[in-house]
Amino acid sequence: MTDLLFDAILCALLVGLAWQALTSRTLFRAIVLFIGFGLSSALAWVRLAAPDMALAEAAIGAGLTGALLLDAAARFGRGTGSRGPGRSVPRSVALRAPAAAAALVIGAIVLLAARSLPDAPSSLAGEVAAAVERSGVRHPVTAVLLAFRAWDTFLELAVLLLAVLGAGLIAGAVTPERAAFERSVEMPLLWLIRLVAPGLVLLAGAVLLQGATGPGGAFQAGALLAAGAVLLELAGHPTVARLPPLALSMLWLAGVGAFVVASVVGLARGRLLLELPADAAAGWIHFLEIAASVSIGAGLVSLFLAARTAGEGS
Amino acid sequence: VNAVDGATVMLLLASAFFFLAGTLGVLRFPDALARLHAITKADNLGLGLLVAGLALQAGSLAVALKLVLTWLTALLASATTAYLIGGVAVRGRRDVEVDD
Repeated sequence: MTDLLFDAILCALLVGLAWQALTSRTLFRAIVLFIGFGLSSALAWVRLAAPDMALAEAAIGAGLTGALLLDAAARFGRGTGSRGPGRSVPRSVALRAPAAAAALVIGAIVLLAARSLPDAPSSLAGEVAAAVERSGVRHPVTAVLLAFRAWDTFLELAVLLLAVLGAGLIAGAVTPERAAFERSVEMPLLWLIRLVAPGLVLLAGAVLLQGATGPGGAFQAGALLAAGAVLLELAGHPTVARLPPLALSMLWLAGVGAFVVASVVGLARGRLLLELPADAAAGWIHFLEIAASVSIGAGLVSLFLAARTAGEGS
Repeated sequence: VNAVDGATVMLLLASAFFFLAGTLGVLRFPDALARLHAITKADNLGLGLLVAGLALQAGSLAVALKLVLTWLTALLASATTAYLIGGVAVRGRRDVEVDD
């Protein structure tokens, strides 16, 4: 009963926050509501017994995206400005009627599709649970991501790499050597950074290793690393900004590179593509995960840096 | 109801009071500094009491310590952000005074 009540309140909160974020007049307000929405949906993932998703949603969906949006709003929209003429909700009936019609058609298609779903949900959970013993790790989510469906993770890392390269091209190369402690950092912020930045690196390592036995892994660890770097960058700390471009590129490439190494070594030894050897699967998975988390962290923070560089250029 | 459960209930109720008061303050207080005062009370005391109440139910020292660590982390973040936001608010106020 209490659970049901909690879930009902959470659902209402999610819908309410989403609506408020979409219809709010000022960008700043919309972004704060969006961050609240991200944190609430992380809670929803916890209620759905998907802690891996909850961690990723809180770290990337709410935290990193929120920081990116707030920074962009501060740079482009001067934070509290109204949305101006380009409002997302069309106002005239001439625009609203077709939009409503399109929404109705799409809604009807989704409804029809939902009705034609098989009664018994097809699930691979049983197969995964049966095979997780042989994967080299004990957490089924990690086994799927790094062993059974390693190919998907490989391509996801390639997508992230392309996104980073694209953002870098638009921003005119991410060469952040510009910032040498632009602003004097206020003392409490400096203390926070001294405590939190090394702490986040430790925490990322712990979350990464924990992925072998429970919720955690490369994506969450990468998000934590990126969060630490964003904190340093926002405070104007020179560590991230002074990273040589070549080093940053190596970090971007680490994840895809590790998967290429795993593929080539496997193929050379006569195994299938990305098939991990049974006796050394755990080691390979750790190798792939460490490289992936470094790449995810470097990639996410590079997207952030690219947005800042682009903002300064305009 | 044993003594530990009773203590937990009392702590959680006290925590809820501080969260409620803090939220009211954020909604009702007139300026940024007063609102910061309200929200940091909720963050610090409210969360502290909540953590104390939950730690009594934790069952193991490790879990209780993790809860306390969560509180300390929140304290660190809320104290720093309150200082930074407060600094911006005070500077903004000075700018206004100079403009007048």
